[in-house]
Amino acid sequence: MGHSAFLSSTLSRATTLLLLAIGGCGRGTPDDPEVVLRVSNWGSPATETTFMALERELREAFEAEHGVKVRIELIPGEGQYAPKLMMMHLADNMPDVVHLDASYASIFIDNHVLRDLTPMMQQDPTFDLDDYFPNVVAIARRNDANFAVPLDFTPMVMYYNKRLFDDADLPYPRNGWTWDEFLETAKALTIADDDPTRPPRQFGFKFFNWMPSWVLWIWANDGDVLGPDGKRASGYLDGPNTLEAVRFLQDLMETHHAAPTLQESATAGVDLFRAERAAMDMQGHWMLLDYRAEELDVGIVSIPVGRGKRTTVVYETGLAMSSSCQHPELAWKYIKYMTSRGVQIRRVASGIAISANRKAAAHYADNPIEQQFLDEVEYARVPTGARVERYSLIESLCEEMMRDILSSGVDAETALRETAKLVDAALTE
Amino acid sequence: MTRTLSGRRILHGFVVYALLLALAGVTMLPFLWMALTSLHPPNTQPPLFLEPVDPPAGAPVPTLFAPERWHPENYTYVLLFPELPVWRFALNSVVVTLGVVLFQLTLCSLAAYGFARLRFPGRDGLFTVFLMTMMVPASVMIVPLFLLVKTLGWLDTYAGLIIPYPYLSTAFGTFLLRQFFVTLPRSLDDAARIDGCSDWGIFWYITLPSARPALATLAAFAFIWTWTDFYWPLLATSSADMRTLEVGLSVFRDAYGTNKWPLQMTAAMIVLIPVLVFFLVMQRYFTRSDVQSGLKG
Repeated sequence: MGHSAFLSSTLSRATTLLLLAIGGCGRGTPDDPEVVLRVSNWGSPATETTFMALERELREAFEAEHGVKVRIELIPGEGQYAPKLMMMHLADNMPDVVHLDASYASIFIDNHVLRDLTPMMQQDPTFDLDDYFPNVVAIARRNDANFAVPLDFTPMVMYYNKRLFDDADLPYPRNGWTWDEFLETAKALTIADDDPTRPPRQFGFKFFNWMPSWVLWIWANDGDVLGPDGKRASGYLDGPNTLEAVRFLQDLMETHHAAPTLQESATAGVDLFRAERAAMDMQGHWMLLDYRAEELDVGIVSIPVGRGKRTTVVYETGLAMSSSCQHPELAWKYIKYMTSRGVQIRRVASGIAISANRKAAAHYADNPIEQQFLDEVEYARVPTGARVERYSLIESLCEEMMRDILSSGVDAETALRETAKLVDAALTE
Repeated sequence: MTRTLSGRRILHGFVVYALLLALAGVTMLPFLWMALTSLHPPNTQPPLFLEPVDPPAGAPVPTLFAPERWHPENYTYVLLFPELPVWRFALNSVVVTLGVVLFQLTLCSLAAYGFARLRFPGRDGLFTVFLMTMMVPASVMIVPLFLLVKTLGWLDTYAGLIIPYPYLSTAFGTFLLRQFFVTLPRSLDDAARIDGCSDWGIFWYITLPSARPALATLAAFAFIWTWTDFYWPLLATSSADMRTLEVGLSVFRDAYGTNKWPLQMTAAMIVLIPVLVFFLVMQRYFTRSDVQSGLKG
């Protein structure tokens, strides 16, 4: 019975260990008088050590001033932020303050997960919503109700590589430029390989299949993915202006070869714009960090205009309060503190984004690139995901459609029509 | 004639080994890619396997096997990352995994003993119903389970991390052990009973010691499932101090995808290395389980 004795003793030891582990489970004990303000955020800044250290410093200053503890609850995992928070909402266990991504704002706002902050804004004489960019405030607004205070944001812009423009002896593009001007510029910047069977050595524009970026071509041509009420794609996604925008991109790659095909991008092994093998790229402010680190001499200009008007979109993060917030007054103070001019000036110094607080943003306006970003705000649309709850699913369907058109040779008109039907079905489910 | 047969055998062996090697290569490739990518410069795109078809003029494009320089310091960077309590994550993973393994072994062996060795009305029907719970996807049970754990006050606790796991996967473990228990000769039980041994005594002194290989197999599976699980620890914990390695280190993969692939792969390797070591040690139990769970019943 030697082995059974061994088994018995192992099991009993292990059980003791387990009970000890489970017994030690009580955290944040009820008799702990310290007030804890729970703040959710996604995991993205984790690799930005400097930024995180600053965030901690700002948090600690707030804790010291109010005698409370601020607990950041990072929710990692791509696409897990909204599902996890919705689950916490179901269990009545939401954090007090929620970082709200404009692209997913509708999920939270339209499911009554967030508290209307308007009464607090109105009663607080030290707070003025006019301090924030109206286009950015509009993201979390429903009629007269405001569900978030904007923290930071970025419009999408066209970056261009000044050196490649200089080498081609081309003038830098100017705001409000047209598709025709863009096409001529992109073609002029494209340098064919000596071997005609191989892709160009340099492209005019770097295209990549990411809808938050390419949807701007559709908007710039007065097309759209959904109707104004966000309930229907037929008549919009398969409309003539949208089709023209998609064909423009297709021609850019296939006819003019001024942008790499999806396959060429995938096999290049590098970011073509950062490797100075593509002269233009459509991105947000976040890329400036990398460009500066790599000493890339870039300029920025507005998105080229097709049939429509000058346009862009603001991708934004706001601070919201959950409807089940345990410490509303404290949460409001935290939101106000983090979005205030002083804190914002320090936060945006990291270069990740632009402050949504106009006074803080103005602090950096003497930098021409920052000023150009600010100039874009008045032309910015609200991201569709801030209005349409199932937009992430629509983005997946549309990116798949683009892949079919650009890689598999599916006719653009057919693909748009079929995808519009799929989107309609997804919206009515 | 003999020479022909021998030639055929050689050819047969060559084809079989070539196929197996190819399959092994395909299986190993993602791991190799992960391991090598984890040593690339931290803030870069995922590397290509080979030189691109149209390499740019000037500096060569780094490939998987030939980065500009190897970066083993990625590992210390992730392990010592100032804003992440990585060692606490590791401790949590160990506690939770051990806890789940013990729970699984205890509950499953008791249930399996009942289904395999005791006779009572409706036993087989009950076992069938029990097995049917394996067909209910875990994702269906996640919401009610989460609400239950919240009601019990177990969110962000070890109890909330450990106890729901056996609930989610007890049927498989019970099935695995039952298949083993039924193969044990009943004469052992009878002899023990004649000597005055109770059911508990038979279970403790005879069945369990005889079933050590099967228990080890179940322990191995429970270890792998729990160590690598992402979703339940993500849901059940909120504070950094209660995260497991799998969830805690996934912050290196941000909400928008990222160009910090090598750091993501470093984090993935840190999670994976204990599993690889464990798998190599316990390999024979994994292969044995195929035989045990698939045959006699």
